[in-house]
Amino acid sequence: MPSQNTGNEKEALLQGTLDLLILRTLVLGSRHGQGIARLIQRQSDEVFLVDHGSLYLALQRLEDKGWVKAAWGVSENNRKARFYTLTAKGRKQLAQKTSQWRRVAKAISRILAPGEAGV
Amino acid sequence: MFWRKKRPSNDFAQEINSHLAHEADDLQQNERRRADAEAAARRSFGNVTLLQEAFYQRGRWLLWDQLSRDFRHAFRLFWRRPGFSAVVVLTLALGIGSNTAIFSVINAVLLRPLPYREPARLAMLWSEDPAHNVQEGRVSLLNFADWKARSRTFEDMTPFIGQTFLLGSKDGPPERMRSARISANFFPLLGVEPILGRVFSPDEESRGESVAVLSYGLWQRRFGGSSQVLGSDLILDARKSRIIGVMPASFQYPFADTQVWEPMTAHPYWAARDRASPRSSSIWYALGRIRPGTGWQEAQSELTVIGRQLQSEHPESKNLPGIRVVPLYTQTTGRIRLSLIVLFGSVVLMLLIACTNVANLLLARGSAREREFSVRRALGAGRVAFTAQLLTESLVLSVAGGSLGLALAASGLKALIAFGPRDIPRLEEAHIDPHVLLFTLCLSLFAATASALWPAMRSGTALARSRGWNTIADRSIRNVLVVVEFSIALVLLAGAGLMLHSFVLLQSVNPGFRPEKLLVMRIDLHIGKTADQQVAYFREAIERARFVPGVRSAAAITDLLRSDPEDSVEIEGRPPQQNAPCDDGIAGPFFETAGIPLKQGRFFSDQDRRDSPPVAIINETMARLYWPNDDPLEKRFRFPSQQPNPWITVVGVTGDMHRQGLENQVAPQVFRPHAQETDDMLDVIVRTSSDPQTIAPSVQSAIQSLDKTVARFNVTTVDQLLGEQTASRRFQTSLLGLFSLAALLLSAIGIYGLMHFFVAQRTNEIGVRMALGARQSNILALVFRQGLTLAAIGIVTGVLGAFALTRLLSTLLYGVTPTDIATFATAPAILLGVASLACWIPARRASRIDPMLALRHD
Repeated sequence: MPSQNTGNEKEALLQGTLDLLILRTLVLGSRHGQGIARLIQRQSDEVFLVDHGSLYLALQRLEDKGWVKAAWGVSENNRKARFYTLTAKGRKQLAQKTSQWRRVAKAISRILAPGEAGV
Repeated sequence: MFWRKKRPSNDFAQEINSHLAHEADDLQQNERRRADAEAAARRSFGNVTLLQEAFYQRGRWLLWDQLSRDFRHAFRLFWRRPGFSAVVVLTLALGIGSNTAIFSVINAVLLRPLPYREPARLAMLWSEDPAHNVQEGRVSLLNFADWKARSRTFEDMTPFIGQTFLLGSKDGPPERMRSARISANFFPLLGVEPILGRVFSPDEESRGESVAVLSYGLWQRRFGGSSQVLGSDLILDARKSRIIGVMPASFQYPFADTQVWEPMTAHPYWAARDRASPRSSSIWYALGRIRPGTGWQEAQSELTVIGRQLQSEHPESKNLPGIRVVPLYTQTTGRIRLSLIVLFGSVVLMLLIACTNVANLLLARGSAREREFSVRRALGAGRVAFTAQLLTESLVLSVAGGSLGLALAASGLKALIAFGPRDIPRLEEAHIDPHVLLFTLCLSLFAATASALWPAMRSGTALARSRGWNTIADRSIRNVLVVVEFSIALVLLAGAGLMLHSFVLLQSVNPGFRPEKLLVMRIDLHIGKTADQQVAYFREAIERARFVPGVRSAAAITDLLRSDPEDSVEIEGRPPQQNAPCDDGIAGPFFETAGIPLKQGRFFSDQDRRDSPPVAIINETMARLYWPNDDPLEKRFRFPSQQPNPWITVVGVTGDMHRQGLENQVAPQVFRPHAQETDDMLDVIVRTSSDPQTIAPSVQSAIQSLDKTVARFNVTTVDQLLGEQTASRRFQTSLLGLFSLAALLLSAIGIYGLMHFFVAQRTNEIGVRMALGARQSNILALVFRQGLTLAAIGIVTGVLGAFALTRLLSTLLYGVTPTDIATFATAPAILLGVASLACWIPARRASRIDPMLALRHD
């Protein structure tokens, strides 16, 4: 499945949302970096473009904050990979950030709604 | 978080590799070949190196990272060029070291607060009479009481006076020491506490209790620093005083050699003289503490008014009309302040020369490192990175120079204290303290910035050009630096020249007597001897000294090298006048011993006894001043302020003798026979036929054996005393001379370096010139013209600068004006000579260039 930018339909991630998405993908279990990228892209129906550089820097940032922890393991392809797991602190952050995001999204759509009606 | 172990970069790199492998696994489903899949994965990932760099830089103090790299680089660089580095470090060490040493002195003498509570509020109060040029007159107790009662701007005032006493010792004659007679509010006013015991109370003062507070020095020396000393007796002269306290070692007020403080009422003089002294008896010093928040201006104007009131209320007292407020800080540092500031200015100028030199050297190095810079630029070094690196390099040099300078300063300071004049207050306390260290650090940073500024700026713009480092702009800035160096050197040289000229003029002043092979000793009989006993003692002492082998003659005078004028004099037939001569008693053949010629009349003889008519010998200045068109012999005068004041007849006129210091004009002088004007303290002078130092001990023991109760005295040579008088000037002159020599040397190095570089750069051109027929002399002229033009421009601007700056020196000069022609002709000549010498070596090298080799060069 190609992950490079092949069409106009893909969108760059909004500032600050990458952390939230990473945390969300880790709810279901630990994953390595490439797995996280693939999952985000697939779950957004290939709308989001995940810049791999940003992803790894974001992972490092989350690890530094103590929201995820990382350990080397063996992947499904039988390769060495670094697996990221959500910590308790990370879970709390996820809940907080999700509700925050919902409030923001709702507010934005409310503002945009009348305009949309006019189109 | 800093306590967590940092994730290593290669761990991150492995993760990326793992990612790429997984990505390739995914892609392989579509692509046929693994290699293609891997390439596609890489493409989709983007710039791996950039990401790894971003990871590396994440959470790091990047500046430090770069700095430490620059530092390592700088160290390697200088290690590999020891000659260059040594020149730069030594130059900076010289500049920074001299600044540090002089700053340590300034810190100790001028900047450090005096060791009293809120010293900025303390002031000396003097009587003054501007009309008669009296600025620091003392005050009578009655006047002082009025000052204190009427002043609102002063919180408190206290009077004090110095006295000497004899302190008996277990072995040999008693020692003469200085005491201070003070009032009970003296210590509280200064805010100083004793380290042992207590000070006396106002009650004890009013009762005139015999109590004494010891100096730390006396306590240590005589009582072994024992606390048992409290309550024991101290025998001052013949009176008993109870010791009640000891002051700290740092407390030396009011006189540096004060050993005992006692209530002013406890001394026998209190009852005999001071208690009922008249308003005209102005012998007391006054110290005051101003109220918080009050300005000196305000205090001065208030006291001026009080002075005028007292003048009109007591016209009969003939007191000085003014009162002068001098802050204690000004009083202590006033005389030395200007010369220290001049010295500091000169070392700052010297540092500027050092920095200029280093800047020049760095520029020259920069052009030699052109290739290195090009490579760095090609590898992507930016303007900021370049500047940072050059600054770091000069910082390394400056800090090395600063450290070496600190070591130089430490030993220089020792020499300054050892050889410095005695009259700089608190000089011996100068040392390298945290303030000085901070100063040195700032100086090193300044030197680093100042010397690297231009080279660093150049490195930035040079990037725009391919051959950046040898442009016309660079060459001209190097020229400007040499010009600046020469101007500064000229200013310093002119200053030192003026001081030196003053010193030479002063040394050539005829003192009016022959100071060589002359011994002098001050003998104080102290109280308790009648006038006849005093006369007899000194006659006998002179007699005994006369018969010591190696002595040619001996005599005595009240004070050989110092005398103050009397209050007023009355010449017969004229009203009393205030411009009065000095009046001193002499015993024995004084004029013959001192080597003062008789101009008219006669010397004193044994016939001039106590009961015979009063006679005087005057100096030529007095004869000229009071009897300008007349023969002074047989004229009569008297001193109205003396009791009794008989008419005194002039019997002789002698040549002038400098008794008020060589720098001052000779004052009118009256000499009278000791028998007719007795005194208990005389300077005995002894003329020897061989080395006076070797004869001194036998003279001393011969006189000392005369009376065991007379205090121990020191014997010195007059040469030594005169040397102490000129010590300050010698100190300033030699330091200024030293600094200007260093400046001369540094600017010589500067111009040498420049011309050396000039020749190296133009080897090609010189080769062509020679191939085309230029002679050796043409090439020599080429180099000299270049070098000497710069030197000449520097000298001209320097002369202009010196004209402006030497005016500040005027009060330190003697006999020369700040624009002394001789100095302003010599200094440029010396500089030009040094410049030619410095140009000569590169010029000769240039003239010996082999054209063939030169053309192949590069």
